[in-house]
Formats: sequence, structure tokens, C-alpha cells
Amino acid sequence: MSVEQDLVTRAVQGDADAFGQLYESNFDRVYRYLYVRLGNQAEAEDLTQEVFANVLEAIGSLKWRNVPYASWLFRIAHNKMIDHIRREKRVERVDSDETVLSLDDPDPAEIAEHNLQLERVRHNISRLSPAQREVIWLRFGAGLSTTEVASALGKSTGTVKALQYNGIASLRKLMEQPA
Amino acid sequence: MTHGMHELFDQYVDRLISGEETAVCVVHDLDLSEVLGPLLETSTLVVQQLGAVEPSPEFRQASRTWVRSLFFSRLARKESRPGFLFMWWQRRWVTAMATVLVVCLAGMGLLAASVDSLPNGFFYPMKTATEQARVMLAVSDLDRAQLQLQFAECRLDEMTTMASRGDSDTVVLLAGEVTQLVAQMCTGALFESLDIDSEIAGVLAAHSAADSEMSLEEALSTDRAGALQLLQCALDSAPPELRPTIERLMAALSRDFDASISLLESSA
Repeated sequence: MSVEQDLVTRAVQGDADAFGQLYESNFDRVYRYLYVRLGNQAEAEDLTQEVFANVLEAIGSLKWRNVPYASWLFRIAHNKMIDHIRREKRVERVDSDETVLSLDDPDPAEIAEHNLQLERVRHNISRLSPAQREVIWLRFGAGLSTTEVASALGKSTGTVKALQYNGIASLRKLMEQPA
Repeated sequence: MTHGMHELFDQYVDRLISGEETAVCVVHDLDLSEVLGPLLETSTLVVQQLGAVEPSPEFRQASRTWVRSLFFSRLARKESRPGFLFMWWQRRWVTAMATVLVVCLAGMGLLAASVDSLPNGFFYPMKTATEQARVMLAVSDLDRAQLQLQFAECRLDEMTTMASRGDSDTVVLLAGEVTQLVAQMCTGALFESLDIDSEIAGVLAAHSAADSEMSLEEALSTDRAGALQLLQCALDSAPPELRPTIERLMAALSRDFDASISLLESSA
């Protein structure tokens, strides 16, 4: 039994430590995924909490099927975000609000520069094909492995690798264009 | 070659995500650096920019406390539920009572009278109680799923009728009933191998959010989208005998939700 399988099995049975470990190891990346998709701190915070409330609701019926836990979790996060976008009747935001960044140097000029660059990256990712940008968000935004992304999106790992390669190649061209 | 390039690039991306520097990655494959170098440069930028986003310490702390209390309150609720033996006894008791109910009502002719009743009708509670009893008494998992689909279709008919009377509150309730019935079918033994726990959780969450936050049309559209999403998942792994019923319900869903929305709009 793998470490993850052991954690998930214990969490399903109501083990607080196991659930806590799964929560801690995924909280930041769920938030980051939602933030980079939505570009709004308050919305990302609300949805992050809703995702974990849903996880708590559904984890009792989760069955281990050799599928990474992150795939299951990010499918919930993805569905939540789609529901949210549909509910708000809007497309994914291109401009984000003031960002909370993990910069060591709190220099305001550096933060502003970082925000501008982040905006540009987000904006150009949002111009990729839907399949390419979903892979880029999950891989680079959430830091999921190729296997986890493939499982979350119901695609083969080969397809995910091709989408990642072509997505970054297209992104490079977009980034080279003047802002 | 292309496949190999995708594979190699993926390995470098793995290393980048884990914090390794691009230059270190590329230097090992000088021949490929011309092709992969620029892509890794872009990848590094993306990793640096997106990776720098973090939740605020206040939110992280508040969320941790909130999730912990939610976890323990759910655990407490679960532990306060009756034990297995009690549940087993209760299940047998409910099944027996349901059988008696169906037999008695059928004998009294009330069952027939309740069949066409509407949600605001006198016999309607009898109709839904009988439906629940029939689902519980179904002899096989396939029969149970067929009944749940059949009753979901009944709710759709009732929804259109209530929409034609301008009763929007009942229409929303019936739309929710349809979603619930479809979700119940998807969690049945027939679809045990179907991995849609997260979809069901998402659909039910969207439904519960729908009542308070959305306009009528949005709430109905959310329920329709959720039910169709679950049915589409179920259709792919359903036994062949069940597929026509699922397809019929999917067609009825699209048709009746549209009809209800336009009926309510015209009566507003």
C-alpha cells in the first residue's frame, strides 16, 4: 500500500491526522489553481473553502481505485470553478486584483513588477486552446504531475505531454508579441 | 522523435516544478538545447510567476481552523448515528412497512387515484411515498435504476405542468428532485465501478447553491446541466437495457426545462 493510499484510506475512515495531511499538502495548490484561473483573491478564497467543504462531504464515499488523490480533488476544484463562472455569467478574468505573492523582498516596486508579469502570463495562457490551457493551469499552476493531470482530465499521459509541449510553444510565441 | 521530445520536455518541466534551475537542465542535453532551451525559458517564467501566488497567512490559518471544526462536527454527527444492527433492523422494518403501504393503497384504489396527482394535490404525498416504496422493493439493481429514471421523468412532466400554472417555487423544487433522483441512480450498485463521486458532489453542491444565489432561469439551467452531466457519465457505463431510458430522460430534460423556463417567463 502506497503512502498516499494509506492516507486516503485512513481519511475515508475518519482519521483526522490523515485528512489533515491531505489537506495541508493540497491547500496551497488548490488556492493557487483557483486564483490563477479566476484572478480574484476573494473569489479564490471562497471557492477554496467550498472545495474542501465538498471534499469533506464526499470523502466518506471515496473508493481507492489507484487514481491519485490530487486528480479527484482537482476535478472537484475544476467543477466548482466552472459552476462559479457559469453562475457569475462571466468568462475567466484576464485582469487580476492585487495579488498576494510570496516574495522575499517586500519592495512595492518589485511587487508591482511581479504583478504586471503575472498578468501577462495569465493573459497569454488564457489565449491558448482550452485543452492546452487546462493542462498548463494544472501542471504549472497547481504543480500536479503529468499522471495526476491526465487522470484529472480523463486523458492519456501522452496527450497531456503533447498538450503541455505545444501549449508552452504557443505561449512563447504569444509572450514574444508586444504587450 | 516528437514523442521523445514531449517526454524529455516533460522530464525537464518536472525538475523545474521541483525547483531545479533551467540552465542545469539544458546543459545535460546540448544538442537539444536549441529546441528545448527557449521552451524551458518560457516554462521557467510560468513556474516562477504562477508559483509565487500563495494564500495569505490569515486566510490559511482561518481556513485550517474552519476545516478542522467542520471535520470534527461531521465526525461527531456520523458517530451519533445508530449502529449497524439497528440500521439493519430498521431497513427490514421500512421495507416491510413499504410493502404493507403499497398493498393497502392498491387495495383501497388510492394508488390509482394518486398516480396523476400534482405537487399541490391531496394525493401527492401518497404518490411519492409509493414511488419510494417501489424503489426500495425493486427486485434488481437494474429495475431500481429504471424506476428512478421513470420517476425523474414524472417529475419533469409535473414541472412543466406547474410552470404552465406559473408556480415557480414548485418548479424549482421539482427540478431539484430530478437532480436528486439522477444522483441517487448514479450512486446505486449498478454504477459502482463508475468514478463520478466528485461530479455528484459538484452537481449537488451547485444545486444547493442555486436556490439562494441565482435567478430562476439560472437555477433551472444549473439543475439541467448537472443532471445531464451525470446522465452522460452514467450512459457510457450503463447496461444496454438501461441506455434507451437514460437517452429518453436526457431528451426530456432538455425539452422540459426549456419549456418550463419559457412558460414561466411568459407568465411573469
